[in-house]
Amino acid sequence: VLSAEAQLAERVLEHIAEIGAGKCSITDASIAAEPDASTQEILAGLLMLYEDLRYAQQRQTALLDELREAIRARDDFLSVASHELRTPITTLTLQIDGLSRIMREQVPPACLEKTGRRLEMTRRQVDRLTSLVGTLIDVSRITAGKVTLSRQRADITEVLRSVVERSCEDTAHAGSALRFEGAGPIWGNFDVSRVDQVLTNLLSNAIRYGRGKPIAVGVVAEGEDVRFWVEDHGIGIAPEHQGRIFQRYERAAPSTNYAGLGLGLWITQQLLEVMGGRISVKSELGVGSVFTVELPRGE
Amino acid sequence: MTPDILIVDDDPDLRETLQLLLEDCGYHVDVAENGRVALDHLRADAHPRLILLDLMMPEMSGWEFLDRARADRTLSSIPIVVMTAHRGPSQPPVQGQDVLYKPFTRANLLAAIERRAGVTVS
Repeated sequence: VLSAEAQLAERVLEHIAEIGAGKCSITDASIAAEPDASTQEILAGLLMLYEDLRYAQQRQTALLDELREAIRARDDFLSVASHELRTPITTLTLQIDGLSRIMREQVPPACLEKTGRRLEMTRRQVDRLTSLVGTLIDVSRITAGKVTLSRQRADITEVLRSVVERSCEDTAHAGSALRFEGAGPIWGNFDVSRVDQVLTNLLSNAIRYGRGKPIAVGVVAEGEDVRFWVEDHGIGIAPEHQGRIFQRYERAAPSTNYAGLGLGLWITQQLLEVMGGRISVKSELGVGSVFTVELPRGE
Repeated sequence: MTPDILIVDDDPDLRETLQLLLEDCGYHVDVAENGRVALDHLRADAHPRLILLDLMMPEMSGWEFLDRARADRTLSSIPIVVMTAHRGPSQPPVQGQDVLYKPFTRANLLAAIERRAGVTVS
């Protein structure tokens, strides 16, 4: 036969187990029915503990709901804002087109050089705005899980080569030589504009962090897959930063020295995931980086 | 004069930019600031050879205009080019229409018009 203390201890343990499971059979009435004052006190303490716990849980649920709502509002705002920006950019783009045409036909040659340079600069800045807005729209689409692919049969060597050719001017401007190594056609079902975007992103990083050293782009077929890479001999990435550069807003280089949103590699990695591919990096600080993409040919 | 193109857009600057651009190319252009005004023009005047339609507009949106135009036998044969900033599955569908995604260039615009209406710069 258990002593009264041992019985009480056992009851308390049972109540604690009950409270742990989110239930409580102690009530004000059941406390009042206890003959012993110290037992009443212990049970009242347990009931209070249970009520505090329940309140904390409700508060946590409410905070989680608020948090989800805040994230949804942020994502909605990002989507609306980035789309809203496209209309003024359209007007600007068309007006610049119109101004260039008028200038070519009507502005006297003496004036043309000065105004032409200014207009060209304006156009470059509008292009930059367009690309920043494109980045925001991509982020919003990726966050909402709404990236859609439009695959078509294409030769990826040709797709990559055309990106490289388009980038020649920027690379030359940065002082880097740009080489493309691609043997023959590699056919597959690809989302051409997304593949273009992936290489454009990687190349713009190679140019930005490339210190004017040579940059090489290559592609090979590997069974069912295709592998392409961008190699630079720039500032490189320290081993401790290599893991986080694919995360959102993360960048290895200090944002005080290099412009950008810190979203390029995150978008690249997310897009590749949607396409069933992956990206990896090999890099050494002060020596350079190689970003390698593997993509199923989907045939 | 019968317009070649009816521009329906609530943004006054973009509307005027498009109008100037297309008039420079020799098109006769009519403008409306939303779907309702566009319908009024279409009921009162001769039909254009093509409609250039924005989607997000107050009073009557481009989507509603599309529904009305499709349901009206006198309007359903007019080719429509839709201008939108939205791309992807989150946008309400604009099936069967040519879509110009903003921002577009002069060349994109003229190509879309020629493709849809077979109208070439005169």
